[in-house]
Amino acid sequence: MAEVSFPHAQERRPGRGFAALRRLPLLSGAIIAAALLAALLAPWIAPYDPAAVDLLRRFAPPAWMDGGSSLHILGSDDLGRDVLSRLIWGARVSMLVAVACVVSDAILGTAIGIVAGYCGGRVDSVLMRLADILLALPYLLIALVVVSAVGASLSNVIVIIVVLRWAALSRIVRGETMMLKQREFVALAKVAGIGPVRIMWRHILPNVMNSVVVVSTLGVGAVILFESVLSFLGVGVPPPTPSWGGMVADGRNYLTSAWWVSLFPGLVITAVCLAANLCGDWLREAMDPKSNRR
Amino acid sequence: MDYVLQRLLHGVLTLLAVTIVVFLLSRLSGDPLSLILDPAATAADRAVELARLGLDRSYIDQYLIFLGNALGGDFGESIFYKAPAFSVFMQHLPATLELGVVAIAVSAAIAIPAGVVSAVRKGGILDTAAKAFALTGQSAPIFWIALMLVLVFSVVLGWLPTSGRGGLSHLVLPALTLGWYSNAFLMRVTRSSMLDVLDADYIRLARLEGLPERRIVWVHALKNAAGTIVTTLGLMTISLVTGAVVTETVFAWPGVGRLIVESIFHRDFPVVQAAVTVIAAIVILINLAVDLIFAWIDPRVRLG
Repeated sequence: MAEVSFPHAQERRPGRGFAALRRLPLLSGAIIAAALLAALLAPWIAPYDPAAVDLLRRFAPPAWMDGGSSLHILGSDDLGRDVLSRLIWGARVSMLVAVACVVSDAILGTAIGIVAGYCGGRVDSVLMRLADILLALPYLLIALVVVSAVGASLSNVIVIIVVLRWAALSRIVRGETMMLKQREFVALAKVAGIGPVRIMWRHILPNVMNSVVVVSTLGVGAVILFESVLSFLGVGVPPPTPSWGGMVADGRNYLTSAWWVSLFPGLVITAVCLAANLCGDWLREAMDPKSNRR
Repeated sequence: MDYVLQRLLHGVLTLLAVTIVVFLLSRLSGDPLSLILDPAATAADRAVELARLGLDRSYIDQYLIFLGNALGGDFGESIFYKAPAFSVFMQHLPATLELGVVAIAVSAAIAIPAGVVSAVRKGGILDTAAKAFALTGQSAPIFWIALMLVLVFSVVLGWLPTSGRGGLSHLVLPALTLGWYSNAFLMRVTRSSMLDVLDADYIRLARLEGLPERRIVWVHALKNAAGTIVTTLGLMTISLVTGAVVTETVFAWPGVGRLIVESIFHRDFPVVQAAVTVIAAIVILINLAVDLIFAWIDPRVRLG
């Protein structure tokens, strides 16, 4: 039968404009690198101590505005603390939470996914039911209840996010493991007398790593946002540790007079999350053998 | 039938999981008696109260008592409001429902048409703009969007009130904020399910028959993409709850989201527990209903 072509039938390639911009996420990579550097080098590059209160210079506007000075490039907050210094130190919380949560969830989700997919049967149904339950929970509410019971601290925030977030990855890994299990090399390994733990470690794990890396990278932005929401609500990392979400909250009551206190931390969160999401998208397409972009 | 039973069982299990989490944490958060009894109570008073509340029994018994009470809407007395926790929750519910319904309507009115247009004109200017908007929308924290909307529309332009609940003008910014939160997600789902449908044979056939393109897209294709979109609206209730907590806090909207945050700071655990349990139940019920309706409309779901 002759191939009839229809409009819409063939335009399945990624569009030109936006996709081209995303080809190499140089800007996004630079933003992430800057955030990581800020987190690592905060004590050396921040112009001020982030907790240094200076009541004589409260609400100093950013340098380029009337009354602004180069002493506080991005202005100062209600206690006269330097906004730029707090942004730099705030990167520590966001980056630490992001890295800790994403890595822990990658390990937890991958382990559970592989075990569920490889063992099948009862183990699989119990683990996946658990994952389904986690996916159906209004997670912010659960986080709020937990924090209200055990108290707010950096480590609690990390643990809560890790426990609430592994499910999505484990579902994907489980699916891939079940497909890999049918493949010949796994059957051959079994015939060769290799134990299940070794098969999962040496033969399944390397083959699911691509998905793990992509899904985890795509989760970085979500983790940063989640931490910032908790900090904004006052149940995240407790003051005086500066966090971006907490900084937006600090400026809430002074929007009319000192908008810069809330504006800059929000901009930074948006930029970093956007960069992380773009990097994730790029990685997904780069690692997907099916998307053959020239 | 199997499918329906399976979904029901899953819903019940999820709800039980929520009650277990809430119960365990209520025990973790300290001695419940110390919140109820006055400090001058004698040891004998304590023992009487322990027995009355069943706190001298095993954890499993205690959990069953908690569950039984919760089923009857009894979550204990609010420490802050001095009223039954459940009725405190119910007083705050209408405000949240009002906000949620308007936000979903706003979001659907913007995101669905945008998703359709961006699927039809794939790679066009509108598609690119919509995608850029969706990506930014997903990356910006909702509490900050809320504050920036206040900054622009209330502080700089002076058009709208900054907070509180009142007439229509009080509703605009919170609804926009909450709607914004779900916009990006809904638009992406609409776009991708429209793209799937637009490739289907019956759409090609409709084109060959010379039906007007507008009718093909907005009637035939959208109708068939609607299943996925409706399911997404169900899933969105989870993120709407998250969004409502933040939005209500920023705009001092007297709903259940703000109630939860305030109750946490008042250490008013009965209210937190009542609110979280009932909201989780509502979310689970909505998703169950969406699943069942979807299965009823589309036999492939329940048979496949």
